[in-house]
Amino acid sequence: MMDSTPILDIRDFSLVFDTFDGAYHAIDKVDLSLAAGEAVALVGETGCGKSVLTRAAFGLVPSPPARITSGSVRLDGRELLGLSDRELRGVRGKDVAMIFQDPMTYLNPVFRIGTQLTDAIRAQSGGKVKRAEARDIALGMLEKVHLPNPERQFKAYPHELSGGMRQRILIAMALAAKPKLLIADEPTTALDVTIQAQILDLMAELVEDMGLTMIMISHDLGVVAQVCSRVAVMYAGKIVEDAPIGQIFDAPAHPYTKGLLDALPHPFKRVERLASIPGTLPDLLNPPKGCRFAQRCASAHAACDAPVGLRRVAPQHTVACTLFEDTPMKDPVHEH
Amino acid sequence: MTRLILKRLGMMVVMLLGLAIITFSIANIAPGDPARLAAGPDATPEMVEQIRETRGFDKPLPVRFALYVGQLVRGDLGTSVYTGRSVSDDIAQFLPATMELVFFAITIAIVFGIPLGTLAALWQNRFPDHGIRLIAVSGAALPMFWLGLMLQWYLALELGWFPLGGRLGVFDDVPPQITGMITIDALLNGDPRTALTALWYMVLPAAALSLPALAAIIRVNRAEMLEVLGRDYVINAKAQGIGPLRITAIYAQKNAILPSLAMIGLRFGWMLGGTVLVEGVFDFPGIGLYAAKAAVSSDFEPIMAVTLILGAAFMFTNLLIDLAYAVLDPRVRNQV
Amino acid sequence: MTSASSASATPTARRPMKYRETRRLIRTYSRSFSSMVGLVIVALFLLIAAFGPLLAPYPEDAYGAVDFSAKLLPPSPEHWFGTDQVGSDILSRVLIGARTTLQIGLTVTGIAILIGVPLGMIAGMTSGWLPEAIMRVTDIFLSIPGLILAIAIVGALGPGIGNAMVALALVWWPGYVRLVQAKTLSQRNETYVDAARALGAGPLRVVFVHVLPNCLSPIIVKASMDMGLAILAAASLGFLGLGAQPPYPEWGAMVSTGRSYLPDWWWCTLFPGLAIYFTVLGFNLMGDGLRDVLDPRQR
Repeated sequence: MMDSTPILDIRDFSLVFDTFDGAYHAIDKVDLSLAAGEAVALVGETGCGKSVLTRAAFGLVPSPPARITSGSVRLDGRELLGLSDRELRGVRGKDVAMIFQDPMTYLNPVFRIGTQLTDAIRAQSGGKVKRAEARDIALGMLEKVHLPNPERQFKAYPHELSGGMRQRILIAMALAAKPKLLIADEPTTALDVTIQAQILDLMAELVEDMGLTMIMISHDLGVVAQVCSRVAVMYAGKIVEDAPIGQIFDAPAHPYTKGLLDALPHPFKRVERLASIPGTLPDLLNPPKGCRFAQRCASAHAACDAPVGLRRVAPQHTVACTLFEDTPMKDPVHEH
Repeated sequence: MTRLILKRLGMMVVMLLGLAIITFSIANIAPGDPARLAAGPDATPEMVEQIRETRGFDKPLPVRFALYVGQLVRGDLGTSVYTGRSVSDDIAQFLPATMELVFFAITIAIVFGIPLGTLAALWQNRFPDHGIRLIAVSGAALPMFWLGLMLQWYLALELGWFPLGGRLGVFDDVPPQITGMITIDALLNGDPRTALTALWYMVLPAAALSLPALAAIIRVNRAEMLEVLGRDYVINAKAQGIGPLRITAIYAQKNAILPSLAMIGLRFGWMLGGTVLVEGVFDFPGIGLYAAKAAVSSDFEPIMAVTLILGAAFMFTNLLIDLAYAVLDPRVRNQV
Repeated sequence: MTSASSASATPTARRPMKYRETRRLIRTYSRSFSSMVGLVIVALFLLIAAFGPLLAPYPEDAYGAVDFSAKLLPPSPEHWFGTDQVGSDILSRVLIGARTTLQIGLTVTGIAILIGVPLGMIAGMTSGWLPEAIMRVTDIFLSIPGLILAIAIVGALGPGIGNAMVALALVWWPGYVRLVQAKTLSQRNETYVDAARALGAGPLRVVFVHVLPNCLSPIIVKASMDMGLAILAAASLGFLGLGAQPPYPEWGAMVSTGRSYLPDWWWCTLFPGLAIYFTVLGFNLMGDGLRDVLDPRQR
């Protein structure tokens, strides 16, 4: 795992939004790396920058107002920052596919499903695939995502389908070109609980079958546990902890991760009420110099006012918290 | 679809009846003697009495309304004191010219308005956007009649690029009347030269007439485009690697154009009203000039008739717009 | 930002909070260049309307003074905008005409609001045949091109500036009914209105304390836009000879008179028209700016 080039390698990535009131530091020096076949969850509360990070890396956040101030994004060894719009378009769809939170709004309401699918498939191939061929691929993909009656859904408009069906269509659309990397941005949040489970099953199945490398964005640790093997926890534009899923549940290091876990309903433990983390996100127009969580952290102390980088606490487990010492170990993936 | 059409046609009949109530009220409830109004300002008392009797102005209001509706159904719109002819004949003569002019003007407004609005949205807050918005705010503020005069003064009198007014020159062959619209009649007659000449005569009045509509369409399309371009399905289309031209011109435009359509319908009605101002400036023998002349000479029945006819034309346009809506938006289609 | 947490808890914090909100609105408004241009034009227009007779170099020319020795003079230092066919100074007539224009705009918009807002409230808050009837009548009025209907009404009442204003007001109110009805309807079922009802607020209290204030922003925005549109419509009626009658200093009528003197004596037409254009532009830009600030969702 360590000697092969990672599929995705984000280094030192920072992004600000230029607003009337000044620069809003949405993402600050983020490192994230995915090896082939890995399914990583990016977890954090709403507004922590997880969607912005994965979209901006592939040129999907309009600039202005967004501005990438530092870093590099390598996809399979190829640097993406600095590519032209046209080159990025060649990467999107074909190499990197995305599925999004709300299947209700991510399909164009005035075009038929079939039109949208074949258009996407043709665009992914850079126009090489003919319309009839794209139709066959699309129908094949619809079967693959277990959509009943693909032929009929092909002629339907989005509003005629249920949320679960639409999410299956979006998944089919995303995976048609067999991308190197799939980014699933809260793919189940907008769905009913039973449908959620079905879609998660489908995604786990596809990750397995197609050998997908995937980033799944979620604010719900319970959801990602079903599909992902590793978790990166993000808070206020920074990654604060990065560890295998088991370790996150068994031995969470960062106080924020612990807070997230306490907020999760547990099937075996009876609790009077779920814990919540007091306070709100810091003002990112004037972000604190030190740990961005310190304001809300029960264990905060003087050292938290100084900048804190990721520290290694176990092989494959790093955390950005002053409570831990950096222990040099053999795994060099997150070295600076 | 048929049900929608029937339903809307039924509503239109009710609306037309309402319209008749309004014109009837203006003529009968307004201070002053309806018989006097109908007889015109130069009528002798005997003539007034005669009209009072023949047109039933001495009967009670509900009876008079029934008589009025009866007349309307028979196509009897009264007599013009000014032309001395029946108003229906006058309108049959003048309406096609106005329709030709207004269709030309709305075409100008759409053909320039939609692309300009889209361009402004794409270049939001940059130089082209400022220029286009200047056109839009000016178009809404320029008095149509004054703009017409200025165009006539500069482009026709000073530069001689366009004719001063009228529908055709003295030496042009007038095509045999089929529809009453010279461009169409000339084309049917196999005479494209005359059709072009007639079009040439309409350029200045149509330009003056179309500017407010152009301004409104630019504004609506710009605003809608800005909104639609930020929608999730556009982000999804981008994530699939679909090109910007296709996204803007097809994916986004088909959604953005719906509100512009409503605006086009509304503006068509206002343009019908605007002909009263512009046709006089360019001595264009249409229903607007007819109404303007009737209004200054207190020739009452033609004004009422024109109000009715233009109101009906406006309602009919809105019916067509609603149907176009249903064709373009599958959600509306299924609702009915 | 920093003081918000300490101040928000006490009731005395309400005033500064409100004040801060107003300041925020002013700041947002003044950020937009075009909104500021609109504000400046409107302010200038109001000043001219207020002090026109004092500013005008030849105030007596506004009301039909005749001096044939000075007729149709081109723009010059004595007559910046030239003189018309009876030797009146066009600048003076334009400056003094501002008051007429303002009067027309205010009257038409004012009457339309007075008729339209209560009807819209009734249509939005009650149920049964009455709101249905109000909305049907409104729909019919809105389905006739306004200018044509106004011409018909002036035709029945007879030409003149007073009748023109009445006619325009009569065709203008339905827009407010639509606006207020839609707004009221959406407010009626809002949670806070339910809460007020649950606390025992009567229907009038609900309307005046809860619903009306929420309709205020769109009404202000529409009124600002309508000032411009009403001025334009009144000038149109003047141009047709149905509104103000010459030599009354009304811009539309001035364009109409000047028309006969094109192209050689172009200033008779050009300047009154420009006055209409800039005034309407000012109100439109201001309306746009207000909408962006007060009612950002409406487009």
